[in-house]
Amino acid sequence: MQSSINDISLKLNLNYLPATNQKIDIGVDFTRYIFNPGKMQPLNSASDLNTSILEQQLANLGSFYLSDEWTLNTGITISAGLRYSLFYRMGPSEVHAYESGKSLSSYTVSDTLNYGKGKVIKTFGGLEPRIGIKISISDESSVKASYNRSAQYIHLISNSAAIAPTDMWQASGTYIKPEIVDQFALGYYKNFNQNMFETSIEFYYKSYQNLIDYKNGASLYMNPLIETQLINSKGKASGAELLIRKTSGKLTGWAGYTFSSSMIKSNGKYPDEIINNAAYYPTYYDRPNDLTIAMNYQISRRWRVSGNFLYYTGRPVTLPSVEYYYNNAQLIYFSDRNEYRMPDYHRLDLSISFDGNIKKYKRWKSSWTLSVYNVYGRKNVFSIFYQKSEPTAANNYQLYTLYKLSIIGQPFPSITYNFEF
Amino acid sequence: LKVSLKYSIFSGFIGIIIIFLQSCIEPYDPGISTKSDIIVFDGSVTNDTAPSYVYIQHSIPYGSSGNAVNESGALVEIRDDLGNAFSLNEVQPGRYASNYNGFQAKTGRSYSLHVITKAGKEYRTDPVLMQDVSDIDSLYVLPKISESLKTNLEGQNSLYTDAGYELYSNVKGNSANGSYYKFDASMTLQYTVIYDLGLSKVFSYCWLNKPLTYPFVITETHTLQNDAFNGLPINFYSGTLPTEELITNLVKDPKSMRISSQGWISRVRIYSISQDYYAYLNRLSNQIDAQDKLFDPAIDKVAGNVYNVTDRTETTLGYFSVSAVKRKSIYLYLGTSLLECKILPFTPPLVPDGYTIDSPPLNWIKP
Repeated sequence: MQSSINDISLKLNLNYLPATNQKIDIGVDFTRYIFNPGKMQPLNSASDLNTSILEQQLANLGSFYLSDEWTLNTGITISAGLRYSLFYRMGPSEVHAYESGKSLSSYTVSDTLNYGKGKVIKTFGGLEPRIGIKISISDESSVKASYNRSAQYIHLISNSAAIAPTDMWQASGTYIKPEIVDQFALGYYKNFNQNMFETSIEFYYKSYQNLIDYKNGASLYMNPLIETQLINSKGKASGAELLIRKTSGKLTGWAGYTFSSSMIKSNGKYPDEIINNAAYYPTYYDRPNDLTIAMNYQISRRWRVSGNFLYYTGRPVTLPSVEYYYNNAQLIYFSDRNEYRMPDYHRLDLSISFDGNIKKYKRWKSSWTLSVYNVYGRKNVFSIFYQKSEPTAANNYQLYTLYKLSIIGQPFPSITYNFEF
Repeated sequence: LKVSLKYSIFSGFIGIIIIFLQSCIEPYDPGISTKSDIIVFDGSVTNDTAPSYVYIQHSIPYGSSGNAVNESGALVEIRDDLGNAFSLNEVQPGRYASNYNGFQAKTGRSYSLHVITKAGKEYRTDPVLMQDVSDIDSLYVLPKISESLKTNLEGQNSLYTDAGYELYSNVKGNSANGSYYKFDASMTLQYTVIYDLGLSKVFSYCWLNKPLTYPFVITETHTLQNDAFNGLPINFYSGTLPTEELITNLVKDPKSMRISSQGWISRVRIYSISQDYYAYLNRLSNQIDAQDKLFDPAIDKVAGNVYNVTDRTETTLGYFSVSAVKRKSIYLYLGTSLLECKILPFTPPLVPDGYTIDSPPLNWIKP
C-alpha cells in the first residue's frame, strides 16, 4: 500500500530594511504538487491481490506575500503580513458528476467529465492575513497577541489519529474544499532568577472551515469515489498552555501542561452528512490534558541522568453500544462517534549517560547512554478494534469481542554509543 | 565534517518488532454502561403465499449477558397503497404473522408497516414498492477450500481450513425488473440412521438445518448492461459433517446406530429489494467485514427504516422490507460417509421447511 505526495517549489524572497527597527519581506512562490493517492500491489506472487492504482492528481499553488515587522521604541513590536494564494487543480483527470439534490454516493453518479492535460479543473484563492503584537512589560516579562488566517489546499485522509498505512493525501478539487483556519492567540511570558526560570502561559482559539469529516461507514482506502465518503465540516479548537523551563544549574529541564479541546461539527445538507445529530463532538486529536516533564541532572562532569514523563488523556474512540439480532445475525450498533475514550496514556523513560573524553579540543568525542523506555511497563493502548469470536459463556455469547493493541507495553532497555569526529 | 551515528536506532527498532509480534493484543473491556434500549424491527412482506412476519424486540447493552426483550402486545399492521390494512397476530412473544389467507402482497403495489406498541409509541415506514424479481437461471457448486481466522479469548488467531463446496447462482432477467437482489437459502443436511432397539432395527431419514455461511448475500445489476449476473456465491457447504449436532437428533436408547450422510438440500430464494434496502444490507456487511482492522475502521451506525411518528430523532434498528421472491432448489449428494455415534436423549428429527419426501430426491447431483 502506498500513498505519496511530491512537490517542486520555486521561491523568491526579498528583504527590505527601511529603518533599523523595521524589516519588510516580499516574496512569491510557486509549487507543483503531484499526488499519488493510492497504490495497492501484491507483496509477492503468492498473493491473490490485484494491483490497483488510483488516478494521479496534479495541482499548482502560487502565492504572493508581504510582511512587515516594526519595533517601536516603547518596546512594542508589531508584525503584520498578507499572503494571497491561488490553487489550481489541474488535468488530466476524470471528475464525476452527481445527480443534483442528492447526496454524493456511488448510486448517484450521473456522468464522468474528462479534463485533458493542462486543463484547469477547479480554482481556489484567497487572502491570508496575519497580525501580531508583542509588548515588553519589563526586561523579564512580555505579552503577545496574534491573529492569522491560513488556507490549506492539501488534505490527509485518515480515519485514525495514528499514522497508518491506509492514510492518503488528496488535493482540493471539485468536491473537497480548502481548509481555512482562523487562529487567535494570547500569551504572557515571564522569566525569574536572572532568566534561570522561563515561564509562559498561552491561550489560543482556532476556527476551521471545510474540515474533513467522514461519513458513517466511510470506505476510504483505494476508493476512486473518495468524495462520496467525505463531509466538509466545521471545527473549533481552544486551549491553554503552561510552560516552565529551568535553563541553568545542575538540574535543567522543562514541564508543559496543556488543557485543550478540539471539536468538529458535521451538519451537511443530507442525512448521511450529519454526524452525532449535528452537534460538536471531539475530534480524534482531542486531548483535554497533556503533561510533559523532561528533566536532566548533571551528577558529575561525566555522568548525567535524564527522565521524561508523559501523560495525556486517551483519545476519543467509538465503541459498540448495543447488540441486536436482525435476519438471524448478531449485530452491533455503535455509540455516537468518539463518545468514549481510550485509557489515558502515560509513560516514564529514564536514562543515564557517561561522557567519554570531554576535553574541549579533542576531535573524537563519545558517550554511552543506558536508557529504559516505559520504565514501569504501562500497556498504553494504540488502537481498539473488534474481532469475530466464538460465542461462549466466557464472553457472554458475544460474536464480537473488543481487543486493544499495545505497542512496547513493557520496559524496553537500550544502549546507545554516540560518537562525533 | 561532523558525523554522528546512533546505534540505538537500529537496536531499538529491532526490539520494537519483537515486542509487537509477541504480545500486543489483549481483550479489552471498556466498561460500557449504556442504558440504551433501542427497538428492533425485523420484518418483511413478500408475494409468497406463506405468512409475512414482523419480529419486534429490543437491543441489549453490549457485553451484557441478558436476553433481548420481545415487544409483546403491539398492534401491527401492513398497509398497501390502496388503503387496505392487514393486521398481524402475535404468534409468539414479539413475533407477529399475517393470516395464511388474509393477505397476499402483489408486485407493483406499495406496502408500509404500522406499529403501535403496548406503551403507545407509534412507528411506521414509508411505502415501499414491490418490484418484480428475476428467475434464478441456474445453481451450481464448485469445490472450495474455505479459510477463516478464529480468535480465542486471548486474542490469538488461528487459521482454519475447510475443504467443501461453494454454491453459486446465475440469474438472467429482464432489464425492466428491479436490479437489487438479496438471496437466502434453507440449508438442510439429509442423513440416514440405522439403529438397533434390541428387538428390531429401524431405518430413518433425518434432517438437520444449518444457517447460511454468509449472513447477507446481496447483489446489484444497475451498473450492468442487462439485469443479469453469473457466479454469485450463495453459501459454503462445509466438508466436515456436524457430528455432534447429528447425534443430538436421534432416538433414545438404541443398542447401536449408524449414520450415513446423504447430502445437502438447498432451497435458494431470490428477492427483489429496494435500493435503500440494498444500501442498508451493504452497510451491515461492511460493518461485519470491518472487524479485525487495527487502524480504527470507519464506524457505521446503521439505523433502520422504521421511524417513530412523533419523534423522528429516535433511533430504531432493523428493517421492514418489501420483496417479490422466487425459488430454486439444489441437491448436493455427498456420498455415504459413515459415522459411528454415541447414545443421546431423543429429539424429534428436524424436517426441512415445506419438504415432506422421505427418500432422497432422484436428482441428487454429485459435485
